[in-house]
Parts: sequence; structure tokens; C-alpha cells
Amino acid sequence: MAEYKMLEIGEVKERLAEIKGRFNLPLTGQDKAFIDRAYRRVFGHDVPNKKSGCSNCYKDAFIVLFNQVKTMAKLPKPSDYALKNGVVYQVPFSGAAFVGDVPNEVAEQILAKFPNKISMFARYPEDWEKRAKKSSKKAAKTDKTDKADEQPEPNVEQPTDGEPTGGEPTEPSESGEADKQPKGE
Amino acid sequence: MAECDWAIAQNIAEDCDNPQTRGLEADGIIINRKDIDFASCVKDPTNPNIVKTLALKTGTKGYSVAQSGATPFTGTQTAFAAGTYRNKFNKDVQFVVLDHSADAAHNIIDQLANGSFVLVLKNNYNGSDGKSKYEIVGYESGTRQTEGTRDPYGDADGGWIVKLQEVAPTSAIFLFDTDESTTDSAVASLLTPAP
Repeated sequence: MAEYKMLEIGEVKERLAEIKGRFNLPLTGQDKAFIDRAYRRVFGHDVPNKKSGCSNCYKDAFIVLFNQVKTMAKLPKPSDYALKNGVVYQVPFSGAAFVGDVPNEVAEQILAKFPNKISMFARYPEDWEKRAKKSSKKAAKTDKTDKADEQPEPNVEQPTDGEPTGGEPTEPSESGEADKQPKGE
Repeated sequence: MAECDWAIAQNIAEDCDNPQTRGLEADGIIINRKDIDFASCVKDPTNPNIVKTLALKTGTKGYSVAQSGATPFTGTQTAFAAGTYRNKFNKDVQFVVLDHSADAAHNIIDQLANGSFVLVLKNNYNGSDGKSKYEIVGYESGTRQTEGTRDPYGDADGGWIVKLQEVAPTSAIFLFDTDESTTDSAVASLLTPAP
């Protein structure tokens, strides 16, 4: 029967101790998959440098993970979102890719833009739609605030005398008003 | 419905920088076909012989198939098979189960005898871009057992030699997404206990 359980601290410690016992041997694919999973759960991000094909990154990660876990009484709370086995989500225009657990904020940003991607998730909270919409509104607010701080580049050619003759206003007063406007559903 | 247009679209030549090499790696994965979430699987839009995402249903995982010896998965082969209306390919995967125990009998051998399975095997030949590394057998119509032998004095030392077969319209289906590292992560996640 298929297993369906979260990682527990006891299991992690036991498995890491077992790997430690044969640390002088090469790590197996299953060892690496376990280290991937445990590392992400403990530290919230992937094993560093693993994409660059480094030969020792998993062993280095194991040492860091082992030393961290031995001081812990329990594992950090897992993310509310996890991708189905076999699914990799690649963040566009970034080198980041997720398998398994996805940080809440990342998952909600994905689902805000692509709600149909919920089918790729094996674990998600019941109120994911509400959380994704909230994340979308928060992102829109942050985006407007960032734009208000930016000096917009002129979108017209500079005249030969060096003085700009067009372009967007540098004081967008919409950002404050946008917060007050009711959002249509 | 459109007529199929069968026409070669590539030169037949050897890649001298990355020559074809024989063999399979010793670690494969077997998945119960009913655990594949086909609705969430994604094929490469530019090549129907490439699966980009092989997603499993919630609560399910694949199982490793670890082989020993210099030629793991010996007996694995793909052969052309003439059909009445359309020709196909018989894809055989052979492996040994070096475990003759009550648990293995119940959890592996008895299930293999009647179930339908999908396997992910790793070719020694990765191709110049990593696209040839992982091959899926059973994606189109599942593999089913066609042979199984246990000889207490045989080469498997009392274990089982098992052959599964898929009769498929394509010669090969590869698993590849973006690059080799991304695909490695996706394949590794097939074995993790379900999130």
C-alpha cells in the first residue's frame, strides 16, 4: 500500500544515522531523495548547488542536516502546499525549481496566476482560493508601491537639447487611491 | 479524423561527439499504472515521444527496482511487431527479484502477476542534451507480466526472473523536463513517500 505520511523527527534522525554509518560509500539515489526532502523541510530550501552537478553537495548537505537535526526536538511545520510526486514546478525567469513541499507564499503566487495548477498539488489547504486571491492583492499592492518609488525611464527619444518632452508622470497618485478602491470580484 | 502521415524527418547518422552506448543503469522505478495521474501528465508539445511531467496521484509513490551485476535488466528489449491494421512495438523489461520471502511473495510477485505497471529506466546513453537518459515503459498501455520463473538452483539463486511487456504504438517514450538536473529531481520525487 502507498505510504502517506509527513516526515517526523524520529524518522529523520534514524535515517540520517543509518546513512552516517556508511558515509564513506557513495550515496544512493534514495539517500539523495531523502536528503532533498529532509533538507527542504528543515531549512525551507533545496540542497545548495545541487543543480550545478557538484560531486559533494549532497554529502556536504548531509553533514549540515545531521548537525542541525541532532539539536532539534521536532521538525519545523511543513508547508501547507506540496506538489504531487513526479511534478517539478519551475519558477519562470529564475533558476528555482520545486518538488514536494512548496513554501506557502510561492504556492499562493502560482495559484493566484494559474488557479488550474491546483491539479498539480497533492496537499493544499481548503481555503487555497481565498489565500491565493489575498496573495494576488498583496502582490499588486507591493507592485504599485515599488512603481511609485521608481524613477520611470522616459519612453520617448531624448531631444538633442537633453530635455525630456514626454514620458509618464513621476508622481503616480494612484497607489494610495488604489488601496481605497473596492476590488471587483 | 486526419490520416496519419508516416514520413522520416531526420538524417540517419551517428553523433560522433556523443556516440550511442549500450546498457541500462542498475536503478529503475516501477509504478502501479493506476497511480499515474494522466490528467496531470504533460507531453512535450514539440515531440510526442517525450513526457515532461509524469505525475502521480495524491497519496501514491513509485518503488525502486534495484538490480545487480554487470548488465542490469538483462533481457530488456524493444522489438517491432507487425499488426493487422497498424504495426507496433513490443517493449520487454526483464529484471530479477533476489528476494524469496513471504513479504516479497505477497507485495511483489503476486502483484506483478496480475497488475499493470509503468517503469522508468535509466539509459547509460543520455544523449547530448540529457533527453535520452530516462525512458518510460508502460506509459501508453501499461506493462503486464508475460514470464516469471523461480529456480532454486538458477542464476537468480532462488529468486525470481520476471519479464513485463507493453505493446505500444511508439518505439520509445522519454521522460525529460527542461534539463537533466530538473528531470533528475522529478524522477527522485517519484520515490519519496507521498507529501
